[in-house]
Amino acid sequence: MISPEGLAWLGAGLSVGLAALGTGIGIGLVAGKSVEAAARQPEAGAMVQRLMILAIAFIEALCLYALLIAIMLVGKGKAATAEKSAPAPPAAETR
Amino acid sequence: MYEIERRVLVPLPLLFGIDLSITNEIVLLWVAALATFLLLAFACRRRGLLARGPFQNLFEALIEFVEREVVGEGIGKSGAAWAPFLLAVFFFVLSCNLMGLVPLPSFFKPVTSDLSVTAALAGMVFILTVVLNVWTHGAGGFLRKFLPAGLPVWIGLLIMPIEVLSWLVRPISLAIRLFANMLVGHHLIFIFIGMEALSAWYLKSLPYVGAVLMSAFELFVCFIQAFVFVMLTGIYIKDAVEAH
Repeated sequence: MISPEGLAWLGAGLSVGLAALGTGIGIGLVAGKSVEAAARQPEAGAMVQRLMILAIAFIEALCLYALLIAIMLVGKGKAATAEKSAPAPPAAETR
Repeated sequence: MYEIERRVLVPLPLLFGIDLSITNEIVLLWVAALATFLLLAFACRRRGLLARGPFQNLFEALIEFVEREVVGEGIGKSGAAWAPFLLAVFFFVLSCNLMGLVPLPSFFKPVTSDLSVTAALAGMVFILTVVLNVWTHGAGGFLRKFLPAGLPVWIGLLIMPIEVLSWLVRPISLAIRLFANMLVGHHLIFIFIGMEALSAWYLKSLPYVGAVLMSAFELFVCFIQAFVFVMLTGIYIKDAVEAH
């Protein structure tokens, strides 16, 4: 009904979209709190900035795992559609 | 996209099933290693209290930044011996990342946008942490790290696979973080330039503006990702070396 490539694109879009939802909220929280902490105590500004960059790198990595899955899905979807349109080889007989 | 960027330059025969032909990625790896060595050797030539010239000034600024953030705060006093290793890793990863900013896409790509390169770097860090752990705590002490203290034995045995898994995820996440950041940044520039073919005549120049802005952001991301890689390496080393 729906081609494998279409389903793969749908899955890829959903995966990255949903992952970016959580990532956006997480990074927003971290950045907000760290700006607040730096404004409260400007002497700790350098340490807060270092910790913020570290935390953002961790959270962003989670979104990038989803992007990786999306890219892999699109590749598999294209391969599956090409295989579907081409005549399939005869299946091996089980003994 | 993928087929354009990896070009075999010198085809070599298979050695035990591994294809040893020299591709453009391998040449860029050599260029990055050579650039790291030569630039640092050139920048640290003149000893003296003040830096002479803008070139040495730039490198001293970078080295001081890495030393202050990673070695000073991350590892502390016992980690001062690790500063040269961390600096070498930082400059190597930085020059590998910066290879993708040269606008000749048929030859230049960020070397770390290949999972093999980042997996090799992360594997090196992983082996380093395992060896340091066993060297500091012994094999039994290393395994005892995964059992939280003060719990009955059967809860500890249930938690232990989860702890081992979270330990194993560390190098995997190191590799995938660097790889995905570099790959995505490089491909986004290509996507912007591809949008130029699809746009109307009065919008034709906008995708190039987007590509330039994306390249500027990509420069920032190169530095940040190299810094995060080295900072996490420093934290893992400190975690392995500290004695309870």
